[in-house]
Amino acid sequence: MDTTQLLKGVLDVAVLAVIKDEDGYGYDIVRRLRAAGIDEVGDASVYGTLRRLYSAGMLTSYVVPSDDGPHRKYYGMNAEGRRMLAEHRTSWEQFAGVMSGLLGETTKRAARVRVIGEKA
Amino acid sequence: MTTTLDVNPAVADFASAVRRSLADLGADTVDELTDGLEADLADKLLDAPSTDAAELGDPTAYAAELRAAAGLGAPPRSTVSENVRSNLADLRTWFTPLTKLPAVTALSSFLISVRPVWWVARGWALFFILAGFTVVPQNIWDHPVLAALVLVSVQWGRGRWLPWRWSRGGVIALSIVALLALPFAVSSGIGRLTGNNNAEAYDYVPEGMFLNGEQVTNIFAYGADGEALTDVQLFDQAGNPLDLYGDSAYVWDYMDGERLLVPSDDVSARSGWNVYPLETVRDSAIDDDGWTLDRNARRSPVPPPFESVQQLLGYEAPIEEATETAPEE
Repeated sequence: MDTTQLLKGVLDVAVLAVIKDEDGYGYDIVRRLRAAGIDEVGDASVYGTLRRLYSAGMLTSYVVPSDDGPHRKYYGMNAEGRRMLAEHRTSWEQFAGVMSGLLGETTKRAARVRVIGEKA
Repeated sequence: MTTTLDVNPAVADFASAVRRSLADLGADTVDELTDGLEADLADKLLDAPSTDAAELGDPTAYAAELRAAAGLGAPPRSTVSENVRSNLADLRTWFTPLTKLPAVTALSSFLISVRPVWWVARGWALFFILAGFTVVPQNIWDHPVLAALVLVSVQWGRGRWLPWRWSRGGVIALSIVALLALPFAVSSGIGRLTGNNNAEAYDYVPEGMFLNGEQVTNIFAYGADGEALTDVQLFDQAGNPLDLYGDSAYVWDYMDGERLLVPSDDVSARSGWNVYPLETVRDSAIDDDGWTLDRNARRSPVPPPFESVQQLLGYEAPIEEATETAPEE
Protein backbone atom coordinates (compact mmCIF):
# COMPACT_ATOMS: atom_id res chain seq x y z
CA MET A 1 0.00 0.00 0.00
CA ASP A 2 1.09 3.53 -0.74
CA THR A 3 2.29 4.97 2.56
CA THR A 4 1.79 8.54 1.32
CA GLN A 5 -1.89 8.26 2.24
CA LEU A 6 -1.02 6.94 5.70
CA LEU A 7 1.54 9.66 6.14
CA LYS A 8 -0.95 12.45 5.55
CA GLY A 9 -2.70 11.73 8.80
CA VAL A 10 0.43 11.54 10.85
CA LEU A 11 2.78 14.07 9.29
CA ASP A 12 1.83 16.64 11.93
CA VAL A 13 2.89 14.30 14.70
CA ALA A 14 6.02 13.24 12.84
CA VAL A 15 7.08 16.85 12.37
CA LEU A 16 6.40 17.68 16.01
CA ALA A 17 8.37 14.62 17.03
CA VAL A 18 11.52 15.49 15.08
CA ILE A 19 11.74 19.02 16.47
CA LYS A 20 10.80 18.02 20.00
CA ASP A 21 14.39 18.12 21.19
CA GLU A 22 16.01 20.55 18.81
CA ASP A 23 14.82 23.48 16.73
CA GLY A 24 15.27 23.10 13.02
CA TYR A 25 14.85 24.91 9.71
CA GLY A 26 12.76 23.63 6.82
CA TYR A 27 15.08 21.32 4.95
CA ASP A 28 16.80 20.26 8.16
CA ILE A 29 13.45 18.91 9.36
CA VAL A 30 12.98 17.12 6.03
CA ARG A 31 16.37 15.46 6.54
CA ARG A 32 15.44 14.36 10.05
CA LEU A 33 12.19 12.82 8.79
CA ARG A 34 14.06 11.00 6.02
CA ALA A 35 16.68 9.83 8.47
CA ALA A 36 13.85 8.45 10.60
CA GLY A 37 12.63 6.46 7.58
CA ILE A 38 9.93 8.71 6.19
CA ASP A 39 11.20 8.97 2.62
CA GLU A 40 8.03 9.57 0.68
CA VAL A 41 7.25 12.96 2.08
CA GLY A 42 7.77 15.94 -0.20
CA ASP A 43 9.63 18.89 1.21
CA ALA A 44 6.81 21.27 0.29
CA SER A 45 4.44 19.14 2.37
CA VAL A 46 6.75 19.48 5.33
CA TYR A 47 7.03 23.26 4.93
CA GLY A 48 3.30 23.59 4.55
CA THR A 49 2.77 21.49 7.66
CA LEU A 50 5.25 23.62 9.59
CA ARG A 51 3.39 26.74 8.59
CA ARG A 52 0.06 25.23 9.59
CA LEU A 53 1.34 24.07 12.98
CA TYR A 54 2.88 27.50 13.50
CA SER A 55 -0.43 29.19 12.64
CA ALA A 56 -2.21 26.86 15.07
CA GLY A 57 0.12 28.10 17.79
CA MET A 58 2.08 24.87 18.32
CA LEU A 59 5.43 26.12 17.12
CA THR A 60 7.68 29.09 17.57
CA SER A 61 9.53 30.51 14.62
CA TYR A 62 12.51 32.76 14.09
CA VAL A 63 14.75 33.77 11.27
CA VAL A 64 18.50 33.25 11.35
CA PRO A 65 20.44 35.38 8.89
CA SER A 66 23.31 33.81 7.03
CA ASP A 67 26.50 35.52 5.94
CA ASP A 68 27.03 33.41 2.89
CA GLY A 69 23.52 32.78 1.65
CA PRO A 70 19.82 33.26 2.13
CA HIS A 71 18.46 33.35 5.67
CA ARG A 72 16.95 30.29 7.30
CA LYS A 73 13.65 30.10 9.09
CA TYR A 74 13.81 27.97 12.21
CA TYR A 75 10.95 26.30 14.01
CA GLY A 76 10.87 25.17 17.61
CA MET A 77 8.40 23.64 20.03
CA ASN A 78 6.34 25.55 22.54
CA ALA A 79 4.17 24.33 25.40
CA GLU A 80 1.13 23.90 23.16
CA GLY A 81 3.17 21.83 20.71
CA ARG A 82 4.43 19.60 23.48
CA ARG A 83 0.94 19.11 24.85
CA MET A 84 -0.31 18.24 21.37
CA LEU A 85 2.55 15.81 20.82
CA ALA A 86 1.86 14.07 24.14
CA GLU A 87 -1.81 13.79 23.25
CA HIS A 88 -1.04 12.36 19.83
CA ARG A 89 1.44 9.90 21.29
CA THR A 90 -1.18 8.48 23.62
CA SER A 91 -3.84 8.18 20.93
CA TRP A 92 -1.29 6.80 18.46
CA GLU A 93 -0.19 4.08 20.86
CA GLN A 94 -3.77 3.02 21.40
CA PHE A 95 -4.56 3.15 17.71
CA ALA A 96 -1.35 1.39 16.73
CA GLY A 97 -2.11 -1.32 19.30
CA VAL A 98 -5.55 -1.85 17.80
CA MET A 99 -4.21 -1.87 14.28
CA SER A 100 -1.34 -4.20 15.13
CA GLY A 101 -3.74 -6.65 16.76
CA LEU A 102 -6.05 -6.45 13.78
CA LEU A 103 -3.38 -6.69 11.14
CA GLY A 104 -1.43 -9.35 13.04
CA GLU A 105 -4.47 -11.63 13.02
CA THR A 106 -5.17 -10.95 9.36
CA THR A 107 -1.59 -11.77 8.51
CA LYS A 108 -1.87 -15.09 10.37
CA ARG A 109 -5.09 -15.94 8.61
CA ALA A 110 -3.61 -15.02 5.26
CA ALA A 111 -0.63 -17.20 6.02
CA ARG A 112 -2.86 -20.13 6.84
CA VAL A 113 -4.79 -19.71 3.62
CA ARG A 114 -1.56 -19.71 1.70
CA VAL A 115 -0.45 -22.84 3.41
CA ILE A 116 -3.67 -24.56 2.57
CA GLY A 117 -3.43 -23.30 -0.98
CA GLU A 118 0.05 -24.72 -1.31
CA LYS A 119 -1.09 -28.05 -0.09
CA ALA A 120 -3.92 -28.07 -2.58
CA MET B 1 11.40 39.09 3.67
CA THR B 2 13.62 37.36 1.17
CA THR B 3 17.31 37.60 0.67
CA THR B 4 18.83 37.21 -2.73
CA LEU B 5 22.38 37.07 -1.42
CA ASP B 6 24.39 34.41 -3.22
CA VAL B 7 21.32 32.50 -4.28
CA ASN B 8 21.68 30.03 -7.08
CA PRO B 9 19.70 31.58 -9.97
CA ALA B 10 17.83 28.33 -10.51
CA VAL B 11 16.74 28.41 -6.87
CA ALA B 12 15.76 32.07 -7.09
CA ASP B 13 13.73 31.44 -10.25
CA PHE B 14 12.03 28.44 -8.72
CA ALA B 15 11.22 30.31 -5.51
CA SER B 16 9.73 33.26 -7.37
CA ALA B 17 7.67 30.91 -9.55
CA VAL B 18 6.33 29.29 -6.38
CA ARG B 19 5.48 32.69 -4.93
CA ARG B 20 3.69 33.68 -8.12
CA SER B 21 1.57 30.53 -7.93
CA LEU B 22 0.62 31.43 -4.37
CA ALA B 23 0.02 35.12 -5.10
CA ASP B 24 -3.75 34.84 -4.59
CA LEU B 25 -3.16 34.13 -0.88
CA GLY B 26 -1.95 37.66 -0.25
CA ALA B 27 1.55 38.95 0.35
CA ASP B 28 1.63 38.22 4.10
CA THR B 29 0.64 34.58 3.78
CA VAL B 30 3.00 34.06 0.85
CA ASP B 31 5.83 35.56 2.89
CA GLU B 32 5.02 33.40 5.87
CA LEU B 33 4.73 30.30 3.72
CA THR B 34 7.90 30.81 1.69
CA ASP B 35 10.18 32.59 4.11
CA GLY B 36 13.51 30.81 4.02
CA LEU B 37 12.48 28.88 0.92
CA GLU B 38 15.68 29.75 -0.96
CA ALA B 39 17.83 28.30 1.81
CA ASP B 40 15.75 25.14 1.95
CA LEU B 41 15.84 24.73 -1.83
CA ALA B 42 19.59 25.30 -1.88
CA ASP B 43 19.99 22.56 0.74
CA LYS B 44 17.73 20.29 -1.27
CA LEU B 45 19.92 20.80 -4.33
CA LEU B 46 23.00 19.97 -2.23
CA ASP B 47 21.42 16.64 -1.29
CA ALA B 48 20.26 15.97 -4.84
CA PRO B 49 22.27 13.84 -7.27
CA SER B 50 23.00 16.96 -9.33
CA THR B 51 22.64 20.69 -8.87
CA ASP B 52 20.56 20.86 -12.00
CA ALA B 53 17.46 23.06 -11.72
CA ALA B 54 15.35 20.11 -12.88
CA GLU B 55 15.99 18.48 -9.49
CA LEU B 56 13.64 21.05 -7.99
CA GLY B 57 10.71 19.84 -10.05
CA ASP B 58 7.69 21.82 -11.13
CA PRO B 59 7.16 25.03 -9.14
CA THR B 60 3.39 24.98 -9.70
CA ALA B 61 3.05 21.46 -8.32
CA TYR B 62 5.41 22.41 -5.51
CA ALA B 63 3.26 25.44 -4.66
CA ALA B 64 0.12 23.30 -4.75
CA GLU B 65 1.69 20.82 -2.32
CA LEU B 66 2.81 23.65 -0.05
CA ARG B 67 -0.65 25.14 -0.13
CA ALA B 68 -2.42 21.85 0.53
CA ALA B 69 -0.12 20.91 3.41
CA ALA B 70 -0.62 24.33 4.96
CA GLY B 71 -4.37 23.74 4.79
CA LEU B 72 -4.94 26.74 2.56
CA GLY B 73 -7.16 25.10 -0.02
CA ALA B 74 -6.87 24.90 -3.76
CA PRO B 75 -5.92 27.87 -5.88
CA PRO B 76 -8.84 29.76 -7.44
CA ARG B 77 -10.07 28.29 -10.71
CA SER B 78 -9.31 30.83 -13.39
CA THR B 79 -9.09 28.58 -16.38
CA VAL B 80 -10.07 31.31 -18.82
CA SER B 81 -7.37 33.70 -17.73
CA GLU B 82 -4.90 30.83 -17.47
CA ASN B 83 -5.72 29.84 -21.02
CA VAL B 84 -5.33 33.39 -22.22
CA ARG B 85 -2.05 33.63 -20.36
CA SER B 86 -0.69 30.41 -21.78
CA ASN B 87 -1.82 31.37 -25.28
CA LEU B 88 -0.06 34.69 -24.89
CA ALA B 89 3.02 32.87 -23.70
CA ASP B 90 2.83 30.66 -26.80
CA LEU B 91 2.51 33.72 -29.00
CA ARG B 92 5.48 35.24 -27.27
CA THR B 93 7.63 32.22 -28.02
CA TRP B 94 6.51 32.37 -31.64
CA PHE B 95 7.47 35.99 -31.94
CA THR B 96 10.68 35.76 -30.00
CA PRO B 97 12.85 35.19 -33.11
CA LEU B 98 11.24 38.23 -34.75
CA THR B 99 12.05 40.46 -31.81
CA LYS B 100 15.72 39.72 -32.33
CA LEU B 101 15.72 41.43 -35.76
CA PRO B 102 17.61 44.77 -35.71
CA ALA B 103 14.73 46.65 -37.36
CA VAL B 104 12.25 45.32 -34.82
CA THR B 105 14.59 46.17 -31.96
CA ALA B 106 15.03 49.70 -33.29
CA LEU B 107 11.30 50.15 -33.80
CA SER B 108 10.39 48.81 -30.39
CA SER B 109 12.97 50.97 -28.66
CA PHE B 110 11.61 53.97 -30.57
CA LEU B 111 8.04 53.08 -29.56
CA ILE B 112 9.10 52.66 -25.96
CA SER B 113 10.58 56.15 -25.96
CA VAL B 114 7.39 57.71 -27.35
CA ARG B 115 5.11 55.86 -24.95
CA PRO B 116 4.47 59.04 -22.90
CA VAL B 117 2.98 60.61 -26.02
CA TRP B 118 0.53 57.74 -26.21
CA TRP B 119 -0.36 58.17 -22.52
CA VAL B 120 -1.26 61.82 -23.11
CA ALA B 121 -3.10 60.96 -26.33
CA ARG B 122 -5.05 58.27 -24.51
CA GLY B 123 -6.16 60.75 -21.84
CA TRP B 124 -7.12 63.24 -24.54
CA ALA B 125 -9.02 60.65 -26.54
CA LEU B 126 -10.99 59.67 -23.43
CA PHE B 127 -11.78 63.36 -22.93
CA PHE B 128 -12.87 63.54 -26.57
CA ILE B 129 -15.42 60.81 -25.87
CA LEU B 130 -16.58 62.14 -22.49
CA ALA B 131 -16.89 65.74 -23.69
CA GLY B 132 -19.21 64.72 -26.50
CA PHE B 133 -16.68 64.42 -29.31
CA THR B 134 -14.91 67.69 -29.05
CA VAL B 135 -11.13 67.94 -28.82
CA VAL B 136 -11.08 71.42 -27.34
CA PRO B 137 -12.41 72.15 -23.85
CA GLN B 138 -15.69 74.03 -24.32
CA ASN B 139 -16.63 75.11 -20.84
CA ILE B 140 -15.05 75.75 -17.48
CA TRP B 141 -15.39 72.14 -16.32
CA ASP B 142 -13.77 70.68 -19.38
CA HIS B 143 -10.33 71.95 -18.45
CA PRO B 144 -9.99 70.12 -15.12
CA VAL B 145 -11.62 67.02 -16.63
CA LEU B 146 -9.11 67.00 -19.48
CA ALA B 147 -6.23 67.59 -17.06
CA ALA B 148 -7.44 64.80 -14.75
CA LEU B 149 -7.88 62.30 -17.60
CA VAL B 150 -4.41 63.00 -18.97
CA LEU B 151 -2.93 62.72 -15.48
CA VAL B 152 -4.68 59.42 -14.78
CA SER B 153 -3.68 58.04 -18.17
CA VAL B 154 -0.03 58.96 -17.62
CA GLN B 155 -0.10 57.43 -14.13
CA TRP B 156 -1.54 54.22 -15.57
CA GLY B 157 1.22 54.26 -18.14
CA ARG B 158 3.72 54.48 -15.33
CA GLY B 159 2.07 51.53 -13.60
CA ARG B 160 0.57 53.66 -10.86
CA TRP B 161 -2.98 54.10 -9.63
CA LEU B 162 -4.04 50.55 -10.41
CA PRO B 163 -5.56 49.61 -7.07
CA TRP B 164 -7.49 46.48 -8.03
CA ARG B 165 -6.64 43.16 -9.58
CA TRP B 166 -8.82 43.93 -12.57
CA SER B 167 -7.39 47.44 -13.00
CA ARG B 168 -5.02 46.32 -15.73
CA GLY B 169 -7.84 44.72 -17.68
CA GLY B 170 -9.83 47.94 -17.34
CA VAL B 171 -6.92 50.00 -18.58
CA ILE B 172 -6.50 47.72 -21.58
CA ALA B 173 -10.22 48.05 -22.41
CA LEU B 174 -10.09 51.85 -22.07
CA SER B 175 -6.93 51.93 -24.16
CA ILE B 176 -8.69 50.09 -26.96
CA VAL B 177 -11.62 52.50 -26.77
CA ALA B 178 -9.22 55.44 -26.78
CA LEU B 179 -7.31 53.98 -29.70
CA LEU B 180 -10.54 53.66 -31.70
CA ALA B 181 -11.58 57.22 -30.84
CA LEU B 182 -8.17 58.67 -31.58
CA PRO B 183 -8.52 58.94 -35.40
CA PHE B 184 -11.79 60.83 -34.95
CA ALA B 185 -10.28 63.08 -32.32
CA VAL B 186 -7.29 63.79 -34.56
CA SER B 187 -9.42 64.55 -37.62
CA SER B 188 -11.70 66.76 -35.54
CA GLY B 189 -8.62 68.55 -34.18
CA ILE B 190 -7.17 68.98 -37.68
CA GLY B 191 -10.52 70.33 -38.87
CA ARG B 192 -10.41 72.92 -36.15
CA LEU B 193 -6.84 73.91 -36.88
CA THR B 194 -7.10 74.16 -40.66
CA GLY B 195 -10.27 76.16 -40.95
CA ASN B 196 -12.79 77.34 -38.45
CA ASN B 197 -15.39 77.94 -41.18
CA ASN B 198 -15.04 74.44 -42.39
CA ALA B 199 -15.37 73.06 -38.90
CA GLU B 200 -18.34 75.21 -38.14
CA ALA B 201 -20.12 74.16 -41.32
CA TYR B 202 -20.56 70.83 -39.63
CA ASP B 203 -21.89 72.40 -36.47
CA TYR B 204 -25.57 72.29 -35.74
CA VAL B 205 -27.28 75.48 -36.83
CA PRO B 206 -30.38 76.00 -34.73
CA GLU B 207 -33.56 77.02 -36.45
CA GLY B 208 -35.55 80.04 -35.48
CA MET B 209 -34.50 83.42 -34.20
CA PHE B 210 -31.92 83.91 -31.52
CA LEU B 211 -30.71 87.01 -29.75
CA ASN B 212 -27.30 86.62 -28.15
CA GLY B 213 -27.79 82.90 -28.11
CA GLU B 214 -31.21 83.01 -26.48
CA GLN B 215 -34.26 81.88 -28.38
CA VAL B 216 -36.58 84.78 -29.08
CA THR B 217 -40.00 83.45 -28.16
CA ASN B 218 -42.24 86.41 -28.81
CA ILE B 219 -42.11 89.91 -30.27
CA PHE B 220 -43.78 92.99 -28.87
CA ALA B 221 -44.20 95.92 -31.16
CA TYR B 222 -44.95 99.47 -30.06
CA GLY B 223 -46.25 102.18 -32.29
CA ALA B 224 -44.78 105.63 -32.78
CA ASP B 225 -47.02 106.72 -29.91
CA GLY B 226 -45.26 104.28 -27.62
CA GLU B 227 -48.32 102.10 -27.15
CA ALA B 228 -48.27 98.34 -27.59
CA LEU B 229 -49.50 97.05 -30.93
CA THR B 230 -51.26 93.80 -31.50
CA ASP B 231 -51.59 91.67 -34.61
CA VAL B 232 -48.44 92.99 -36.23
CA GLN B 233 -47.37 90.98 -39.29
CA LEU B 234 -43.64 90.78 -39.73
CA PHE B 235 -41.58 89.74 -42.75
CA ASP B 236 -37.88 89.55 -43.37
CA GLN B 237 -35.89 91.28 -46.16
CA ALA B 238 -36.84 88.54 -48.61
CA GLY B 239 -40.48 88.65 -47.78
CA ASN B 240 -40.48 85.47 -45.72
CA PRO B 241 -42.86 85.51 -42.79
CA LEU B 242 -40.73 86.21 -39.75
CA ASP B 243 -41.30 83.01 -37.82
CA LEU B 244 -39.42 82.92 -34.54
CA TYR B 245 -39.34 79.17 -34.60
CA GLY B 246 -38.20 78.75 -38.16
CA ASP B 247 -39.21 75.56 -39.87
CA SER B 248 -38.86 73.58 -36.68
CA ALA B 249 -40.91 70.50 -36.52
CA TYR B 250 -42.70 71.58 -33.40
CA VAL B 251 -45.72 73.79 -33.72
CA TRP B 252 -46.58 74.67 -30.17
CA ASP B 253 -44.17 76.20 -27.81
CA TYR B 254 -44.53 76.23 -24.09
CA MET B 255 -44.33 79.66 -22.64
CA ASP B 256 -44.42 78.30 -19.13
CA GLY B 257 -45.63 75.19 -17.46
CA GLU B 258 -49.23 75.24 -18.58
CA ARG B 259 -49.65 77.75 -21.38
CA LEU B 260 -48.67 77.35 -24.98
CA LEU B 261 -47.78 80.00 -27.49
CA VAL B 262 -49.86 79.56 -30.59
CA PRO B 263 -49.88 81.15 -34.03
CA SER B 264 -52.56 83.59 -34.95
CA ASP B 265 -55.63 82.05 -36.51
CA ASP B 266 -56.46 85.25 -38.35
CA VAL B 267 -54.11 84.35 -41.16
CA SER B 268 -55.53 82.45 -44.06
CA ALA B 269 -53.62 80.04 -46.23
CA ARG B 270 -50.43 80.17 -44.24
CA SER B 271 -49.05 79.82 -40.79
CA GLY B 272 -49.91 82.61 -38.40
CA TRP B 273 -46.55 82.39 -36.69
CA ASN B 274 -45.47 85.81 -37.98
CA VAL B 275 -48.31 87.70 -36.30
CA TYR B 276 -47.12 89.27 -33.07
CA PRO B 277 -47.38 89.19 -30.17
CA LEU B 278 -48.14 85.51 -30.17
CA GLU B 279 -51.06 84.58 -27.97
CA THR B 280 -51.38 81.67 -25.62
CA VAL B 281 -53.86 78.92 -24.90
CA ARG B 282 -54.01 76.46 -22.02
CA ASP B 283 -52.14 73.29 -22.86
CA SER B 284 -55.43 71.41 -22.60
CA ALA B 285 -56.40 73.11 -25.87
CA ILE B 286 -54.01 70.81 -27.71
CA ASP B 287 -55.31 67.39 -28.54
CA ASP B 288 -53.72 64.36 -27.01
CA ASP B 289 -51.98 63.75 -30.32
CA GLY B 290 -50.03 66.94 -29.66
CA TRP B 291 -50.73 68.45 -33.08
CA THR B 292 -54.30 69.63 -33.26
CA LEU B 293 -55.26 72.91 -31.69
CA ASP B 294 -58.81 73.31 -30.54
CA ARG B 295 -60.15 76.10 -32.76
CA ASN B 296 -62.49 77.31 -30.06
CA ALA B 297 -59.87 77.45 -27.35
CA ARG B 298 -59.82 80.75 -25.54
CA ARG B 299 -56.71 82.74 -26.47
CA SER B 300 -55.13 85.08 -23.98
CA PRO B 301 -52.69 87.83 -24.80
CA VAL B 302 -49.22 87.60 -23.37
CA PRO B 303 -48.49 90.51 -21.03
CA PRO B 304 -45.99 92.77 -22.82
CA PRO B 305 -42.67 93.54 -21.15
CA PHE B 306 -43.63 97.22 -21.05
CA GLU B 307 -47.08 98.70 -20.78
CA SER B 308 -45.90 101.43 -23.13
CA VAL B 309 -42.60 102.82 -24.30
CA GLN B 310 -41.36 106.31 -25.12
CA GLN B 311 -43.02 108.02 -28.02
CA LEU B 312 -40.83 108.59 -31.04
CA LEU B 313 -39.30 111.99 -31.43
CA GLY B 314 -41.41 114.23 -33.56
CA TYR B 315 -44.49 112.15 -32.97
CA GLU B 316 -47.61 114.17 -33.00
CA ALA B 317 -50.67 112.64 -31.55
CA PRO B 318 -53.60 112.76 -33.95
CA ILE B 319 -55.86 112.95 -30.94
CA GLU B 320 -57.31 116.42 -31.53
CA GLU B 321 -58.16 115.65 -35.12
CA ALA B 322 -59.74 112.45 -34.04
CA THR B 323 -61.92 114.04 -31.39
CA GLU B 324 -62.88 116.80 -33.77
CA THR B 325 -63.82 114.52 -36.57
CA ALA B 326 -65.55 111.99 -34.40
CA PRO B 327 -68.83 113.78 -33.98
CA GLU B 328 -69.05 114.47 -37.70
CA GLU B 329 -68.99 110.76 -38.55
